[in-house]
Amino acid sequence: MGSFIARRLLSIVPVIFGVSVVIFLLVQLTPGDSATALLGPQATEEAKQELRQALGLDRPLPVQYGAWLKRTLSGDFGTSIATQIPVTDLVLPRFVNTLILTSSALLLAMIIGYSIGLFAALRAHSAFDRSTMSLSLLAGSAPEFWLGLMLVLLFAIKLKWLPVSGMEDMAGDGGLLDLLKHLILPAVTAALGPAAIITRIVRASLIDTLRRPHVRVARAKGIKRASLLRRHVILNALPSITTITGLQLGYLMGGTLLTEVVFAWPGLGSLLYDSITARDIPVLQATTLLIAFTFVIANIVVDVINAMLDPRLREA
Amino acid sequence: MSFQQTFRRFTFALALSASAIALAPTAVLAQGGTLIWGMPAETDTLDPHATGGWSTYQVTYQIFEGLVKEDLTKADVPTPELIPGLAKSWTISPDGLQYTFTLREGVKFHDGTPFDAEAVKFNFERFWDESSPNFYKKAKAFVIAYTKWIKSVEVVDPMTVRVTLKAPNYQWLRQGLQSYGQPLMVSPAAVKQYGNEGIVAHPIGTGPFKFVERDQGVKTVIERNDDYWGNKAKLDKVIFRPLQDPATRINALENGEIHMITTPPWDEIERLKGEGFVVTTNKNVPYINFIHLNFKNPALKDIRVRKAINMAIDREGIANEIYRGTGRAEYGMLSPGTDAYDPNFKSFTYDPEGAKKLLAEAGVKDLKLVFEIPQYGTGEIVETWIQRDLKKVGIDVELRKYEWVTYLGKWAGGMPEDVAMNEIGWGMSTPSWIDIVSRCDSAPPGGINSGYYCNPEVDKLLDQAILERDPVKAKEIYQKANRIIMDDAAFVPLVDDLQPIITSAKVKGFVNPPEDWYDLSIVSVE
Amino acid sequence: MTSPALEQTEPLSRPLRSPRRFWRIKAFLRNWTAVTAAAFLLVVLLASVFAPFLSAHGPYDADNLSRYVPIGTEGYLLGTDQQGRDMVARLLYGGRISLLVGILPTLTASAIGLALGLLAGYTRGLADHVIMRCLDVVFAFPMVLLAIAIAGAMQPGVTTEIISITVILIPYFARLARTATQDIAAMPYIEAARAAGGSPADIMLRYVLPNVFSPVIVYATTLMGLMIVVGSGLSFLGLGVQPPTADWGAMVAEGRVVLRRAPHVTVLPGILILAVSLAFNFLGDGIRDALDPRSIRR
Repeated sequence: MGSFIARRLLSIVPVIFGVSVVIFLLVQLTPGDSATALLGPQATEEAKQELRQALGLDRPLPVQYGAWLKRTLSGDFGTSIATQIPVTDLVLPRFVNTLILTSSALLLAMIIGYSIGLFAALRAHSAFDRSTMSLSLLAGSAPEFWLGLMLVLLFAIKLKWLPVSGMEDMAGDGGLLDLLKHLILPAVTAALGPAAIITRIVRASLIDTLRRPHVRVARAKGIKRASLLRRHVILNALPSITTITGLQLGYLMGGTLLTEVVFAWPGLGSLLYDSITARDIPVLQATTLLIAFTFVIANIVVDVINAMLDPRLREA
Repeated sequence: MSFQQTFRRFTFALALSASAIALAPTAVLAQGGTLIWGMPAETDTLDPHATGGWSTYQVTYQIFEGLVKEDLTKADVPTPELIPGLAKSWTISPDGLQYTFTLREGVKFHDGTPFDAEAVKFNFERFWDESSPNFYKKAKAFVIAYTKWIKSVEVVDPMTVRVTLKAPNYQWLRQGLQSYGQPLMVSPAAVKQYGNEGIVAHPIGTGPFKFVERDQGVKTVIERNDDYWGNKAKLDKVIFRPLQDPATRINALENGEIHMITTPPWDEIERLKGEGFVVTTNKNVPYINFIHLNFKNPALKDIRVRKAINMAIDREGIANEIYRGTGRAEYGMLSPGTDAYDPNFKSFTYDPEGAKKLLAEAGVKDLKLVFEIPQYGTGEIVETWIQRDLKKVGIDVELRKYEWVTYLGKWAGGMPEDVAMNEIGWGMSTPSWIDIVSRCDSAPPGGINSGYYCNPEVDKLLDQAILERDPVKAKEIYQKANRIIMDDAAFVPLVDDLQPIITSAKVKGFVNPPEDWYDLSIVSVE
Repeated sequence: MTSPALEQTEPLSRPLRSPRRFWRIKAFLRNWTAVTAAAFLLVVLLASVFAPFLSAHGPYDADNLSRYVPIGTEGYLLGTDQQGRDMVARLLYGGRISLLVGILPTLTASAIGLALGLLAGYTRGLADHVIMRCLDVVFAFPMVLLAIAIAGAMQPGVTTEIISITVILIPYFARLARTATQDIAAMPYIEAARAAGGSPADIMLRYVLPNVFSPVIVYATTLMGLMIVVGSGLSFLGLGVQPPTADWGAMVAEGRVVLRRAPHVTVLPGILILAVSLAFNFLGDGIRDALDPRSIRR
């Protein structure tokens, strides 16, 4: 088990390295650079040259990448070109914000998904099953930014129960209740897609496991449903369920961008988008790496859990 | 005194003091309130010397001041008046080369340090003097249009500073009040304490508001400076809130989460008016939306084609149908916000038949043109209208849309031969802006004359205009240049929006001036 | 911005041995939900293709006097949009782009991913490692970043959308194909074939591929619907089609601002996106159920 974990952890290194190189190259390929972005209509060649020199952007690419790599490995992620705020000061709070949104959404998705999936599996092919499956498909197929707007219109504008945007009340003092009020709509919007997926997978896994010979035998033996579920069914269905749940976390990390933009939730997704628009390379690199890293870690955690449940997988 | 009399006096005194106490907090509350402004974009840095955006100026204008200021408290003027700022008066030598500023006494920066001639010199050294140890390289790129005229800066006495220019330029003061590089006064003590890079976190100026905090992506907060030298602000606080999605901005406004938005979607203006929001506009905007015509493009080398394009576009239609009354058609290249603007200036009229004739005369058939445009959040409604108008006279326009920064790079770099037109909306409150887009030597890479227009007569006139001390005479010269530019059909001026700003009914005292930034010290919120 | 359903790898209860097409098609037809979905999709597809014959107006015919006309007005069955263009026309022509963005990248990615996954899963060893590591990099890459970067390097447009989505989808198909290949390669009959002296290529093509095909097809069908939603997200961010081209996603994004005043502009294309995505899902479910010999339909 230990060597399996070690091997998986080692695999992070080439992947993260690969991501950093790719992102660096992609930005270079993108026309228009930070100097242009900052200078706006004043972006004469002369002004751009001045600014590029001041920012160190006129050095050859490998040198720039090398300098960045050296700094990063020693923990210095540099300063944002657009706002001159140190990158760590920019990225960490946003990371926390996205985590708040993501974990709430994941939690919601898991609660909805596991419960509905379980019930649907136990009543497979019934009217309940069919209707909930259709509803989950519906929820999962709606564009996030559109869904968010609908929810805002209903709950914020019409009913005035919840705020329209942001993470906190601007004029107020904040606090947990304020945060929760602001969290509800974006979390629900972000959760619906993953909830739909989890529901379907849970249902499919459970139905599959329920049909297996050992379960049939247990049923025939007259074992009560609760203990049957606990001991025979759920454990076997777990690998697929944990896989899909872990993957939802990965998706949510980079995928909450649309929700963040619509709700003005100050998270990593919107920071990523802004940094691309502004060609803010240090921020862009740090944010991408963070997202990629989280995604990879989430995958590894899922792999480890699955390997714990099923020793056959430890060969990978 | 009898017991009753004492008792009555006592209760009366009690009532009096009670009412005094009750009134007192009300008196305090009658001041200001907090204004929350939903901005379409995040500000970049709060260091005025190292920023180029007008949306940032909307914030830094409240915190920093320059030697001279524009009076933004009046809406109905053609251009904001130049008034004393940190310099209570100034003189310009007869040869136009020496500006002597007499500084205001008793002014302090927000950190308590005094404002004096040494502070002014420090600031100039920071953004202009490369030989000084205080020089900040990054600032130079931004403030360059202002600083390239400066020959020297000297301290005459503790309250007097003299700036000597290399050549006379009577638009120079106004040029320093634009957002493309803001030569405003920063506290030297702050720079010494926090370093050049540290000013963004400690933006310490002299203005009516001081910086409180910035949570990037969430809010920037400033509060009233009670030690301000001039008219103190009414508001207690201003919170700038970036909300990029226009639908979210509208919803937040309607829900009372913000009090003010700029650049609202045109189609929502009427509805919001009907719901009790206040819409202010200003017809003298200091910028102009226009199309650069590429003189390197083979088809556009013929003046008849350029004229035809100008005649084929229904500007009034765009102003009425798309801008819904918050737009004004423009026919010249001087923006309404400058003192050289002439509202009666006429050039081309909407005449599709005439356009067709001209094209036929020029022997042009099945003309295909490429029009590069930037990506707008509101969709490309105006550009597709233009596309249709040109189709009606037989010109096929291909729209190529680019993401904003990519587009900027292309626009600033000059159009290649195969591109016929690109567009932009910008300007300044000084008519010398026209130099930047139309002089021969402003062609890229030296400037932003993206279409490579070149007419030596225009250059001569512009050289004269900047030497003209009398604004009335300067206006005449600029108008002459404007006339030649339009006769050459070098650009296609389009429709200006009237800068509609929507505020909640709770906001009092807001003035929408002929500029892109606003004086918030006169505003209060109920 | 990736869709959660991309990771949906539902287990096939048992791999198949040999094609029995007739029975499978019959099983499919018994599933009326899937059949309805397929019919609906066909109608939508045909309607888009034959759009010029079905709508009186063109998608670019703007009439500035008839902006935001409501549903049911004379001459404009479903109303008009912000430039006075007929909604019926915009929806029909828009369907071409939206369906293209949904179908083409998915098919391309499935083909490439299938090949890669087959190779990785069957050969194992170095090829497997290299392929999977490279794919991991793409996997870990935030999708929106890739889309924006590609859109920046090229012009934003349909081509860019298609390329971005294809690149993003490849790892998902490759993973699925690899897992399926590994499962099948472990089966006794494959070992038997190897012992009988078949070449790896031959075995891959004749025995493994047909069985890997099935889960990939199911997955691809489901994904097609989702990619339409993803495409609309890209349009929302401004990376999609160019004006004045019609596309459901772009229509939803643009119409959001005037939701109060003219809801049909954003709601109608939104409904279409939902319906088509749903239909693809039902279709995928139907195909999967038909391919699974143990599925019991009541």
